[in-house]
Amino acid sequence: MKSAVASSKYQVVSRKALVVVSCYLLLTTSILFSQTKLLIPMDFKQTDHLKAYGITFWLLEKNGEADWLLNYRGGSFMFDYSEVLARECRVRGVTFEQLNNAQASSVYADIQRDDNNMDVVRLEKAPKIAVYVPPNFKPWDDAVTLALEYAEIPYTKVWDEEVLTGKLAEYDWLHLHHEDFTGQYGKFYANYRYAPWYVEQQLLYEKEAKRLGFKKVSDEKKAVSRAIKEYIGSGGFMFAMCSATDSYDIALAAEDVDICDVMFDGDPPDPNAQQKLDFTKSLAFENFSLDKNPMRYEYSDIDFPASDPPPLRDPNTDYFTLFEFSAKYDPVPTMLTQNHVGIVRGFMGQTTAFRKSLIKSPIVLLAQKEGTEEVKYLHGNFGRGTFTWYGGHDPEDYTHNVGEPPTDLALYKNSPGYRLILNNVLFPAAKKKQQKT
Amino acid sequence: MKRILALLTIYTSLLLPVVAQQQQDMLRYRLAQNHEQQGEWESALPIYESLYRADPRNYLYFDGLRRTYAQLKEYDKAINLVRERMTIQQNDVALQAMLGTLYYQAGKEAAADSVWNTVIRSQAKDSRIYRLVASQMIENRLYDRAIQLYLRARAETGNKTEFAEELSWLYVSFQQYENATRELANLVRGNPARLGSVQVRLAAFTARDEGATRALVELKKEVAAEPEDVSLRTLLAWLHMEHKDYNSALVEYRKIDELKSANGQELFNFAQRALSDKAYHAAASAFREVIDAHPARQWLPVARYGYARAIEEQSANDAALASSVDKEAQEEEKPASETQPSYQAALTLYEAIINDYKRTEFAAQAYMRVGTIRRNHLFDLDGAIEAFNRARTASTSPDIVTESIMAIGEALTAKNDLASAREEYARVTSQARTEIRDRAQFRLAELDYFSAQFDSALVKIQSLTTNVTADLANDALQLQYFIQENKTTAADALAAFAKADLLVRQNKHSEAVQRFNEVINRNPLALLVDDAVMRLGDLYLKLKQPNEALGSFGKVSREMTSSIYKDYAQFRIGEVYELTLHDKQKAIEEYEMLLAKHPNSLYAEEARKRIRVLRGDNL
Repeated sequence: MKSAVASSKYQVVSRKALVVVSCYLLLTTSILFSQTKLLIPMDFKQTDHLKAYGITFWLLEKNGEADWLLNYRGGSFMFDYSEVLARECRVRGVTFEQLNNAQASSVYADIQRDDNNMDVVRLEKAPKIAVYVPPNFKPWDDAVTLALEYAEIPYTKVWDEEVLTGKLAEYDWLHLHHEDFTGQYGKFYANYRYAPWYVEQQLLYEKEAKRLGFKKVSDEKKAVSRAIKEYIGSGGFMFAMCSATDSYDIALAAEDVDICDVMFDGDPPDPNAQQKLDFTKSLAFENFSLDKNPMRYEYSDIDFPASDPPPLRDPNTDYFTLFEFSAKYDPVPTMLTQNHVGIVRGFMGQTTAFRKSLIKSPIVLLAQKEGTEEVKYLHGNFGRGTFTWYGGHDPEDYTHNVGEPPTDLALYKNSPGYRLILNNVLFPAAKKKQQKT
Repeated sequence: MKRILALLTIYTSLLLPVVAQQQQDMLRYRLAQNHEQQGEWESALPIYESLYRADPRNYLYFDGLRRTYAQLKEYDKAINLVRERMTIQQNDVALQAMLGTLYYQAGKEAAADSVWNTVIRSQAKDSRIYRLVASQMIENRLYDRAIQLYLRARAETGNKTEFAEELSWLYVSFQQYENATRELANLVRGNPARLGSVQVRLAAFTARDEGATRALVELKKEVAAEPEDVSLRTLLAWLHMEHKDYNSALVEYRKIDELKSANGQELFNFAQRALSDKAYHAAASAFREVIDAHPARQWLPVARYGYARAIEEQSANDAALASSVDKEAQEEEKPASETQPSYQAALTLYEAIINDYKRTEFAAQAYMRVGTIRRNHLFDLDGAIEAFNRARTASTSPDIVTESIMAIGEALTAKNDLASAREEYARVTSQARTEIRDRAQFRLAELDYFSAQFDSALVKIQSLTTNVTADLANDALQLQYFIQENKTTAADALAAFAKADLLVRQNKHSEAVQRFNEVINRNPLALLVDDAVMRLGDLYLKLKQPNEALGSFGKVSREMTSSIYKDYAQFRIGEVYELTLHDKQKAIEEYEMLLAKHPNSLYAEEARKRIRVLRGDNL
């Protein structure tokens, strides 16, 4: 009988113990499981750098959070592990590593060490992206929309009306590419004035300008430029490439002067246009000289080397160097220059690079062709917002000519040049923290 | 003599300063032009002014000064200059039109209109005047005004089709595609020589769906208004064909043939184009009509052959349709249909050609088609061999002769008469054309392999593997590798495997399944076991037994961990779920399994694509 009681007691004890142990195991397992991390390395082990940005954006869209590990293995991303995320990485062909708690802690500890130029930036909100794209067909492609589409990052197209009616306030990030804000239709007049796309473009722009209450396209584009400037000033992020960079700044400086020749706006330019430029209004460049020849495919001397005549260069020897910044003290330029290489292949565009001597002093230079005046990539602040400009047209097509087919990014999954574009897309997702400088 | 010399000296001394002045003026003119080209209008101005003052009758100086005034927005000065010039070049309409432009640029639109109207009124019936003024308007980007002017000119000159070229260009720029189409129709109406250029201009906007739809509606109206105009109909038919609507194009070509009294030539040309564009239904209809209506035409045999080809291809499409119906039947667990769609109509047509054009190339080509249908679709190997033999004897074309020999070899192999097949291929190996010779050589190597003569097969393959650019090289390398891998370690198993492979070639699928199973059971440790299991998977699919196929592929993927096919087998599992069982969810899971287990597989990229498609991702 005693033994039966004892046995029963033992049974109760063992049942209790079992429950306690089970609870403990469940708890510790769940803690351990929740602390398991998924690392997307962005060094040479990554199979698809561009889609890695898309995965990060995808997770942020689903209210997830990510850590951008600046300068750690090429600017890797760290997430809480989930099977859904892992599966999505596999489906999109993005390499990832599963780290246990200890491994993840070790990574974070490594990054925080003072002697390592690394830092962690928390990404917490998918930015809303607008791309400034004309509604009509254009016989060239936009590297940013190509990158966004390949990385599967959603964006909205906006055009003049949206900009002028204040719709930009709805977006965190605005991209411009190969646009002409001076109202000279890209200065394609000499070679393409009889091309159907050129004629159609000019008519469409004129019609749109009239509809929006402007006498001239150049006046409308100046108003658009001002509205974009206001958007930046009130906290927007602007990223521009190719001719959208210098033509934008020229349009701001030429706010009160007609710089367009008769074939562009129906009357000749102001004879004193150069003298009347107001460089206090431009964002990045000053003291530049306009190229007043309407037959020349060039806006000013900002573009260096000039596009007309096209420079004779060997693509195999054309490279630019990314500057290195202190991750802990200058996180913004560090984010913008994250890459798995320090030297990137050059590429041309209507605006290939920016003449260093014409760049305003507060602008941060992010990349330059070593030993030359050519600045490829720059960053600046205006008001509460920032702008980043990147010279050249297509990072993986050295001379992307009018009418050429779009670059298939599936063939350039690890493109360092395209990575710089996508750094800008994630940059607005970063949680703002007190800057150390 | 002295007097003459004195006169010459005086003449020369008078002439020299004039020449020197002219040279200096020319240099200054070039300098001004140079300033102009650099956009330095302020620098060009005093030079042009000085040159003009010195010689106001010189048109070059006048025009340079006018341009400079206009560029510097000195419009009043420019207007006065032109007015002054008009006293020299009285009634010069170009000058007057230019004056209108200056008024317009100066913001004096009423004055500009008045001047341009005066120019037009001066010669209201002269189309050149309208062009001149319209060009000034276009220069000032007054496109809509230019359109109005051209339309007014038509009314004035009474020529309803004049300026069609200019108007079509303007309308296209304004995206007024209906109007543009109407003007292009004006250009081509009654003028077939312009068809090519008009098609190019039409294609500029019909490449877009919206442009094509609007152009089609308008062009149909134009044709309805003038149903007898062949050029218009040809343009309409072209537009239909550009948008793959061959049945509508056929309707137009019927009428064109009739209007041109072409005796079927137009319809015949259309039928041939439709056949080459794989529009078999329209091609068959057109060929049939040509054959029925014009039996005496010299191209009748070509039309009959074309008709038979179109019918044969339609039968092939029916076969694909029947196959999909079988899939549905299978989903409903009904027994799969063994019947093949009927190629009887095509066979009858080819046989009629053979009878009517005996010992001609038409008959030879028809025999080749008969043989192909009998071998590939009806599995009538004797009938196929007979047809290929007849093709060989009927033709004088070396291509048909060699192709028929190769085809006979394949049919004999399928018939299991390997010795005779070997004889056939051997005939071709002496051919001059490398490509044919290599094909025959590879077939001979395969026959050696089927007969377990592996050393002989390897010798024959050797020469084929050296030319890596040849299409056959891959197949040859694969066979070479397979034989070499298994010949020394499991010769018996390899021989049995080859026999089973021959059965596959002979479409004896059930028997092949049995043999491959025997190979696996008797040689469980042989290297070729995974090959055999993969073959089984394929055969089960052919026999419409997808669950058994899944079992085979699953065995390789999950159990044969050292097999080089394990990733491919996993991919095939996903494919069976996707394409045969139409189970999207399972297919996604299996493809994901491939990505998880074999991230570096050659099939990973394709698996990713398929997952995205199956998930319905917006790619």
